[in-house]
Amino acid sequence: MDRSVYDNYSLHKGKFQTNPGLTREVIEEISKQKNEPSWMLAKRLRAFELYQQTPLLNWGPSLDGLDLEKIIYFSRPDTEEATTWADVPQDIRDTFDKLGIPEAEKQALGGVGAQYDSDMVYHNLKQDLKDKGVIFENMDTALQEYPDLVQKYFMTQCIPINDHKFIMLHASVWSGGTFIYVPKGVEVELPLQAYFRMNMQAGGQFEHTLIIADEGSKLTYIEGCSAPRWNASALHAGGVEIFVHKGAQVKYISIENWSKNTYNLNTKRALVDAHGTIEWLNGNMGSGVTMLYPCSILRGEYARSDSLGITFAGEGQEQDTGSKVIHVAPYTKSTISAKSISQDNGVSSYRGLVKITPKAIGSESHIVCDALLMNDGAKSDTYPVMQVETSDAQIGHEARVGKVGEEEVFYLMSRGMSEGEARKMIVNGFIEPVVKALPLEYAIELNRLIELEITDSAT
Amino acid sequence: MAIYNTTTPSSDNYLVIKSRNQEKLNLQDLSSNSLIHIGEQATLELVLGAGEYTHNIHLILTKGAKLEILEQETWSGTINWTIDLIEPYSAIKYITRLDIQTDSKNIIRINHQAAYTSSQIDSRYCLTTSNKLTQHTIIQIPEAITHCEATQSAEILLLTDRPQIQIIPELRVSTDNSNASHGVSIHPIRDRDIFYLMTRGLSHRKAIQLLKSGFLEVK
Repeated sequence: MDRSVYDNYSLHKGKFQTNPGLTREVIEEISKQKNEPSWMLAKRLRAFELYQQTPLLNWGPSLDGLDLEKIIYFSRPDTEEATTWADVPQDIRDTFDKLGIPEAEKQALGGVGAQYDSDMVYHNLKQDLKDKGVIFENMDTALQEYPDLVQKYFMTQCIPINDHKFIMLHASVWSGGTFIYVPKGVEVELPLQAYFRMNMQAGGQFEHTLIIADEGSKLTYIEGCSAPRWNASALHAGGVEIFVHKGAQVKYISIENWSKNTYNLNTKRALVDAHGTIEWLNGNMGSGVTMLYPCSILRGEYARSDSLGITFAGEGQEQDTGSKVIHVAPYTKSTISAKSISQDNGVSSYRGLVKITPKAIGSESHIVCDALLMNDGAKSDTYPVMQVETSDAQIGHEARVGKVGEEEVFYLMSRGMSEGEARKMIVNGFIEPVVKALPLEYAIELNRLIELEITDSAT
Repeated sequence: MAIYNTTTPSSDNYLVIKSRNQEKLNLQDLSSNSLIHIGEQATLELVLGAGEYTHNIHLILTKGAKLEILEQETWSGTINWTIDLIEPYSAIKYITRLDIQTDSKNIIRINHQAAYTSSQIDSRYCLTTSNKLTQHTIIQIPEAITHCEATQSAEILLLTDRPQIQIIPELRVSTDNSNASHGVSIHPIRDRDIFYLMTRGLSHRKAIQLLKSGFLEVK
């Protein structure tokens, strides 16, 4: 497998980009270019005020290498959004062809969105899903076409604009992303996918994903992300809001493979109503620094959250990931399974929170963290927090940190494998629970990405 | 004399457990800011009795030193432990069996600074009141410190309608040649266990008492 698929950049010249750094004028320009309603501009400007008043985080990985004044917060590709790949400019289409997106759409997806820097360049949904009332749009289009729905759900109750420093930034400069509405009782059988590609040097991508699964509906949504490697640091601060209404089921899959000089400071949260289920499946391979803690707020009886995550931290990478679950309603259940692999001087950290509030009687949570250290100097930290405020709750937590067993390597070598092959096989076994939960083509992709990282280091 | 006191600029009380001695101390007898040095092959048993604490206790374990901390009586306040395993074969075992009756915050930092060191934190708590329990444990194994064993487990039995628990078991591991793990289990008393004892003639109250005492027994 060739890493250049992800690292190569395109020479596509955008039609507009703001100067580096963030000012009120930049935000007004973004809003003007998108012809937004006044309430959205007001929301952006309020978020910017909060952003200016809020200091940087005083915990987690170092953000010293991130110069927020040098980031270009808005860059539009020189194209309009297309509904056929033939209408996408050749240089941009080449990028997505190399990533295999059009081919995947033909074979296994119900709809695809593709974002290039700040704007979506392609969006398409199968006709039968449109006929069932499913909405799958780029977030900017949704704001124009479904303003009431967007105003009701966009950064109100799920991720409010004052949540934390980088959500304030996101709310100020968000652009593009995905809007999905699945009507009551509709099951979307084929997954919908969005692919986010950041091409610009010192770029920032701030896409917003808003998913509303109405009562009894079912959806699988996949996000893929990548960026080429430039000399200057890039920033990704996306926002994902998921509303899982009564009895609905949403499976959210994301494979994030940003370049190694990207700061990936992403926020993902789901509000889950009674009998609803959210499944998170996150793979984090790229990025120099990642801070990502998908959160589920179980606010209806018997709501459920399952979170499965794999992170790989290689040379110079710091992957600070985890999961948060707040049990607010009775008889809610959650599981968290976090796996990490650290290699060279890579640091992977699990940072999680499970909170069971007084009303969440009969709730259960089970957390498992497994860390694999490939060599001395690789680092694994766990920071799990458990808060319990009701008597009728059950929580189990277990964590293990260990290395690839020499006996296992020896056993496989005695069967004719080289040491490298033996180690790869053991790592593949370690990540198997995550890989098995992925659709086949993504499972292969994830396996290859991790193999590539291990091979890169060995050579 | 196996123990002698002195004063250092950083602590009110500096104790040294001489090599190869076995000593037992009560935390009440120590000043709130104490540094204890445990000599080679020496053993110290430190007991936390009932009381109110605002203590910072720093323990240093040298080659082959053993430290056992036993926490069995309810106490209130905050204790900050820093336990440095600075030479090989030193070992710390921290055992807690507590029926929580007051607010308490226990912060335990264990630094494995030498190879072949071991740490074990084994905690069991019963919560019969709505008092606040905070336990924050931090185990660090830096790079190149090999063949260490670090385990921490916490089991909490919920017997109150309004518990307030915060458990944070941190592991910070930078070496691939050591084993570290932690486990936490928080649950109410099982109805079937109470029922079983009641069918043997015990009242509901007595059944719960018996289950509690069994849960808190040090084996």
